[in-house]
Amino acid sequence: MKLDISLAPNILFNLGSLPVTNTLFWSFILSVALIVVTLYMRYSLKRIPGRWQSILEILVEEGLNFVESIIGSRKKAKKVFPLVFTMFIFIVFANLLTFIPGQSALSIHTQSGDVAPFRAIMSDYGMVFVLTMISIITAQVVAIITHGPFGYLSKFINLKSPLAFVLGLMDLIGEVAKILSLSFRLFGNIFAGEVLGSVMLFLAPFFIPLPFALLGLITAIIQAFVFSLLTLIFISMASEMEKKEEQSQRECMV
Amino acid sequence: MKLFEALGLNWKILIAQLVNFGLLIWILHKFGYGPIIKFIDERRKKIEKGLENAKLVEEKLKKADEAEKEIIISAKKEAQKIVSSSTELAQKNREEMIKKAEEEAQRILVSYEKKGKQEKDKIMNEAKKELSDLVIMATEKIISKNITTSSDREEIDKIILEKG
Repeated sequence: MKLDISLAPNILFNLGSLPVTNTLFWSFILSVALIVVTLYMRYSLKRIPGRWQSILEILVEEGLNFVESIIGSRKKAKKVFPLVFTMFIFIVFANLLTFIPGQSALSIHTQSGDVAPFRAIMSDYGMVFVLTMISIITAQVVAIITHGPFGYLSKFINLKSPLAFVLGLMDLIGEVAKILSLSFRLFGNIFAGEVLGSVMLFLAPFFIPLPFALLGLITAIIQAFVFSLLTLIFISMASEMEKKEEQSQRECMV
Repeated sequence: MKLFEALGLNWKILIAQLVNFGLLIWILHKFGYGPIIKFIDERRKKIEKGLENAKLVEEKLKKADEAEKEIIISAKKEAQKIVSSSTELAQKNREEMIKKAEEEAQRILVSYEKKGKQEKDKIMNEAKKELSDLVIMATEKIISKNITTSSDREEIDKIILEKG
């Protein structure tokens, strides 16, 4: 048995000029599964809900209420909710997918050697990076819409006083740092969990990996929650400038 | 960019992921959250409306109850009034009728008395006349002589009237 750890995802096959990596492949599969479930649910919605519909409704309603409690108004919450909730669901299922047993036992022989067909989707930095960029860019767009282009720029380039100028630069750096902190938090946790899991499985295949798997399960859910919550906080921060300090305090706490 | 290579970043894959995720958000929103939230909102509205209606109905019921009571009270009063007025009327009628009957009785009595007296007078007169005739006849027979002169006859009538 060979311990194979690679930072980059493995390419399974090429679709035209698009190299399909194992994480891309699984993110497609996951998306299709989520879409199928959603469509099925959409056409089985009833006025008097059954058990599954009740669970879904509670999930969606509580999610919406939570978003509302952070962003402040139901109107805003309804706009942000699809993005944040989809992120949460997508990341949760992406992380939980690795807990289907038997995955690491398989390998596929390709032109670039033996590759594992399964890999945690969020242990591919590219996927996390895309999600992060969506989150950060949405926040910036919301800020521009809220404060106007000049208001937005004056937050970063402020010539009123030397102190304000330095603070503006710090803000600029902070925005860039958000990309790194947000993306590497998720990527690092999941990737480390994967590596830890495979190392433990390599060293002691019975019983010892179980606590780590449990830890991984908790991480899977918590990181999904943290990522979507931070996205939500960035967007709500961008949508109201007055309460900025309070919000960044909350961000520090998370 | 060695780092990007090490991390396996490939712009084609990134775009594919972006499109994938964007599509996912859109579909999940369009067919998932959208309808569910709509359902929830609709149901909430319905429940609120139902509660409001229930409150309204309760109020109406209360009002109807009050109105009912009022109607019953006024009906009772009305009935009381009708009964008392009809009793009064009946009393009055009775008295009137009695009075009328008494009057009638009186009248009948009076008229009969009068008639009786007239009859009696008439009979008496006739009897007196007959008697006077008889007397005259008897006297004629006794004195065998016709009394034709009116002065005599008058004299006799006068005597009878004085006696009778």
